Amino acid sequence: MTGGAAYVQDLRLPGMLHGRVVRPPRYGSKLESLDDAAVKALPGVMAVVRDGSFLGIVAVREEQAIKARAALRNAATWTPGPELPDPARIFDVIRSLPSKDSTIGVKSGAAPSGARTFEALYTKPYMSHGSIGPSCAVAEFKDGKMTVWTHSQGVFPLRIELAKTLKMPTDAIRCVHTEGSGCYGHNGADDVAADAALLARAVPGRPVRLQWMRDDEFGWEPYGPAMVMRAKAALGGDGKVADWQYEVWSNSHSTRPESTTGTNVLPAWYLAEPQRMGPPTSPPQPAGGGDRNAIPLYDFPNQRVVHHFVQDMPIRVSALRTLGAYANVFALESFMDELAAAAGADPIAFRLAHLTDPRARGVIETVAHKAGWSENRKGDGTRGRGIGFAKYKNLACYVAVVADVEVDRGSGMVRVPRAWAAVDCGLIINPDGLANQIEGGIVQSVSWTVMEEVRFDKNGILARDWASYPILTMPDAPKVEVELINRPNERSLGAGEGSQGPAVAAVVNAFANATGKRIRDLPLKPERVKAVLGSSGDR
Amino acid sequence: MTTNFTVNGKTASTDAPPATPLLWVIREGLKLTGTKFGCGTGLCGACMVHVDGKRAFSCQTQVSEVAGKSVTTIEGLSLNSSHPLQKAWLAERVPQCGYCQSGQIMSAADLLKNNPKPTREQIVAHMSTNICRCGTYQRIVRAVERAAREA
Repeated sequence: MTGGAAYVQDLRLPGMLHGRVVRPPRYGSKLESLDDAAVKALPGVMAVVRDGSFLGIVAVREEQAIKARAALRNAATWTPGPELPDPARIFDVIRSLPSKDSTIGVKSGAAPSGARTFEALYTKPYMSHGSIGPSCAVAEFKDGKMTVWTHSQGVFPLRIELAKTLKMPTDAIRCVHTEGSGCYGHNGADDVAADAALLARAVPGRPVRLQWMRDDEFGWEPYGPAMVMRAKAALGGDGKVADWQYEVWSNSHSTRPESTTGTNVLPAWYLAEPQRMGPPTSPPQPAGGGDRNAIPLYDFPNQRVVHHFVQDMPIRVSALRTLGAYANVFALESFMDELAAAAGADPIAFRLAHLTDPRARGVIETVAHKAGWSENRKGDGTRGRGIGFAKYKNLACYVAVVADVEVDRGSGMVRVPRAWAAVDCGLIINPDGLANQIEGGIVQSVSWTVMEEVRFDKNGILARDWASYPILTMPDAPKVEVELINRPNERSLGAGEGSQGPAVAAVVNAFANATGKRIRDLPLKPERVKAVLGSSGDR
Repeated sequence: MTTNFTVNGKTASTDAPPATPLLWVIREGLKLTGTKFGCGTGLCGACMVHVDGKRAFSCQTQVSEVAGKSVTTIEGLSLNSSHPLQKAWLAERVPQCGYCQSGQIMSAADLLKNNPKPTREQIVAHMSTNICRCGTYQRIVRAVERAAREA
């Protein structure tokens, strides 16, 4: 707000140089040849660093490093590398890959009789962290020791990965945490730290600051995984869910630098002696990874949830804010609305009929009152209202969100002008900070939901800038009102990731309420909206 | 070749090539790191400064274009953080990660200079040049409204 140095991006050390890296055209490409004589002659260039297919530059000034990077890119020839999957088939690919399956949340009650059955398939695409500030690190190699200033979310695991990458003893490496631009999970922070360390080794005694360019961040960060969710349910004659069957297919939601058998930083995989990524893991229940929030909080008599953990990743992925919760709450709460409609019930009344937890009921009833929810209100073809609910990780804060949408049936654009939230995270420590997190989470989730997907084709990642990966801007951001439910006698629960799941559900349910058509594939992009609305588009 | 200009009221000069983006001269040459690199293509607004009183993407402004002109960065917006927007940003507790906020404030300052009492619609239309990933948009709107009210 005053411009004081706040971030690792702003760190300025005496004698500091600037680095940049040149990445291959796509995953697994190898550096075939390099004619760097002209690059080395450019103003300010101190070193061209090549180790196998890792390629970078060190220069005196930042603009010189950027110019040299462009020249170095032209000086390099790469093998094509393996093709990426056909994006049109990506969800089939994920479902067909080998998986480690675990069955969770099983409940067995009386077998339903005379029940009607329903089934739906939902998908969520790859999404980017989209940090406004590209990842950055400063590294200095001096007297045989490496110091790295980094905005990594785990400096000790990073240190171990750097030791493997640099083939240095761990105690010769020091990682100093320094604030960075918001990262929302595992973005390029650790990778750029390893990049900077590799460059710093070429200029001992001089700190090297490396900030990724925008296309490095979009093209190479580990995305939030694409996921497939299949829900089946039986609806009894009493209008209640008699049986719930749910499956989720997902890659890992954590390939962070914490592997014991591999090296989980990007440049290590491209060295002359390439190292390998460790086998991906999935955080266990109850918090879960791809199966986070896959177990419904509703009181169903029969229930079975299967997590298909797919280890092979066609696109590099890792932890993005909420892990699997965003996609699972999207699917679970969409399906609840579909079942409510089949039962002829109001979406909120239907949820409450399946909920006994008073705190869960509390957030739903509070948000319904705040938004002025009226039962069984139909949308008018372009405007509608929806609800979404979750208890984050099934062990943190309770959040319910109501959202309004406006659908432009001609352009297929979906806007979310307003949203309301109620949150119960036990004893509230910082009410305004809590409200800010819930508001921001809703805005971020609306952005994910209406417009975000990492596009790719067989030749590589197509998301490279804010034009090819746009996010929500101010004119399209919803006005959000948050009701905080303070429970001084309950312990405080995490709330920073509580609103994203309920928000996506509220938005897709509002779209269905508005149009009478349901979209089960994210995002709610114009071509998809127009296709779903089809010939009734000008109702 | 030397380019002479004014930054935050003080004379400045750089020997960077004329086509060098102003952003790097500000951040590296003048060590004013409040202005941020976000995308380098004028699509995020993190690098926003004022040139002769009007906002400009410093990543899209060549240093030759500011010769003889006056550049204001977030560091020079006010003495002692006393600009109504800086006070309003604190009062509304806008920032989360904060990385985009200096650019947001510089864009907002450009708006209020020309339109001291903007409507909500005018605020969001003007501010559409600046993106925020933490989702603080509605607090930004509130802070601009507050600054307009209290200025």
